[in-house]
Amino acid sequence: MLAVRLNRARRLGPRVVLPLAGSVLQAAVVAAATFVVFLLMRLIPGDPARILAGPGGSVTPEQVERTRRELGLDDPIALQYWNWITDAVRGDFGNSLVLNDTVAELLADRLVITLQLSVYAFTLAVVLAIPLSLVAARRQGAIADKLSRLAGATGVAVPSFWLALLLIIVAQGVLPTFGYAPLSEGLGAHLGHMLLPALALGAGFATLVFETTRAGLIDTLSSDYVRTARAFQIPERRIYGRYALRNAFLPTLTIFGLEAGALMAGALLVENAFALPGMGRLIVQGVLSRDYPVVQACILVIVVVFVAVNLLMDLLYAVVDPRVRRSRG
Amino acid sequence: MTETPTTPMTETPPADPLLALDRVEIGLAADPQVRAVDGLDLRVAPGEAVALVGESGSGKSVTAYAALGLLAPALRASGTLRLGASSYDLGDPGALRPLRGGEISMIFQDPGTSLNPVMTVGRQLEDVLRRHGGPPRRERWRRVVDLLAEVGVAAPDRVARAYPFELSGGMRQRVLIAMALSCEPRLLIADEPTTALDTTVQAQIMDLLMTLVRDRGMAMLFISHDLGLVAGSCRRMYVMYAGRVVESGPVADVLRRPRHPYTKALVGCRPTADRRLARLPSIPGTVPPIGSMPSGCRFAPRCPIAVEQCRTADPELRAVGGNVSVACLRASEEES
Repeated sequence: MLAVRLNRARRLGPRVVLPLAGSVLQAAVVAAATFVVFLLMRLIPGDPARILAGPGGSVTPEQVERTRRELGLDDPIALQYWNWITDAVRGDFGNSLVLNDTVAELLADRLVITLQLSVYAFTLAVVLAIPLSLVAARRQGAIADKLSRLAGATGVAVPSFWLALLLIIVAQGVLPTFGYAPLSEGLGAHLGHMLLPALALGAGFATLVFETTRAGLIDTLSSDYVRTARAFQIPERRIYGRYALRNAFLPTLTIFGLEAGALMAGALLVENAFALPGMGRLIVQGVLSRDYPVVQACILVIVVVFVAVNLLMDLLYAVVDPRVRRSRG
Repeated sequence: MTETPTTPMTETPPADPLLALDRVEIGLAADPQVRAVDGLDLRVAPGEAVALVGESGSGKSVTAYAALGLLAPALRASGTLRLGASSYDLGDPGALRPLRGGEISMIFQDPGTSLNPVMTVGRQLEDVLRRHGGPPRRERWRRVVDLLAEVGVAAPDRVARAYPFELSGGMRQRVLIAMALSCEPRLLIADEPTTALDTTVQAQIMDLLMTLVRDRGMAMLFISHDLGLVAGSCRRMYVMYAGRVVESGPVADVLRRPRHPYTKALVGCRPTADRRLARLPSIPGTVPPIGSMPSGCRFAPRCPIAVEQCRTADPELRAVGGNVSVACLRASEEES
């Protein structure tokens, strides 16, 4: 995505084109992803009009038809999508078909929890993985390196929901393994409830960050410019930070962007394991009860977050690497 | 390259050298018997420009890295390095660390990859200055710009703010030379500093190096495979083959009358304008890979004048007069 955009920027030149082309592209990604989900929802057997109109065989086809018309479900699908997306852009996600509430209302609290979980998992992973990769790259082949690589391989192999169950069994009685505590109950309680879910969700991601950064570091530590820095006695701490890690970080940023979606998706599973009232349960309920507006809004939010994170990574790329930054000018 | 006799330099191996490398051996850490350099002695006098010459794989660059304790982890060195009155064990890279920059500065073969791509060259120069007792923080940038001007950068202000990828190869090498100068070293090791550059830029960089060496009385160990550059810049030379010095002496004498068949072949490979050749001459065969050195003389398998004895007896480096030393059994016989 980045390379394509840079090429275009080079050809067209002006500074204005790039952000513009970027946002057009990202808007297209959001539109395409939500449209696909829109279609998929309608392929699932089961008619929401029939479910809503009343239980069992007591409703007449006329009643079902009337409900369908009221919901706008008899419009052509493209028109339905258009009505939905134009409302959504204005912040109106419609009403839940099943629950007696607006979708925005339903989503607000749960989204916060899912976002919190994802951010904590991300932070935990980065805080664990980056220092470990430094240690491992420095003492390549030593015990610390081998142990962290073994842990890494395990982290990739173990799915997050299974790890969640394992953590629940192991930490039973030590840490809260059930439910959510909002920040208003105190930071300690809040983080205490989030620690295990964040760990379960972040483990696989941490492994990817660790392996990518470690490989990058091994590469940059044997680079000519690190040799130059050493030939001039630049302190090792500065070599690791400014010379090796800064250059090794570029592929890691790509991983951050690519994994943002996986992290959100994983959050939905982990939430269920720890009974966190996040978006995960909302989506599952929505799919089961054919609650189109709820599912669509959830997907829209996830896609927007994914696109936003990738946009942020593109910007960070430019901050970290002057070759990206200056080739735009 | 014009012949420019520069500093007052001796043509004899110095009795009181600035740098002395003794019995240098560089081998694989895993198997020290597999050696890239095998028993090298080398002297550089204060202010002297000395060349270390040989094909790729002859061990000249690793020798330089070993002198600064910068060998790759897979390699291990032994031997001693004397600098002035102090003596250092080459097997202990940490002990050599204090020499880097301040005593011995090094510039590298590939200026394209030798600078950090994500820092401006000015910031990298500042890093070096801070480490080597440069001016206080507020005056440091001024000093960076001055240094760049000193190495012939036309717009030093602008170049200091540039990233390496925004500069040409020649400009990057000037930046690295400025880096080396900022430490005011007693010895500059130049590891094929112009190999990666265009011919015209090559001449400019060589001129710059020679001017700096002359003006500052700095000694230089010039590593190259280009005999033309060596002839124009150095007074003494060492010729390396397969990890050993096979011939050493004053550049003019060695090049005019090479005694070792390998040196002869090297000199014979230089294309000249007055000799029109159907094809460029080359030395048949290749340098033996380390780990499978032939017994006896290492050049014997490629040598046009080798005799049976060459394949069994390992020739010692011996003086053959005129300050030239040669490691060849047949050298003197051929002479007469």
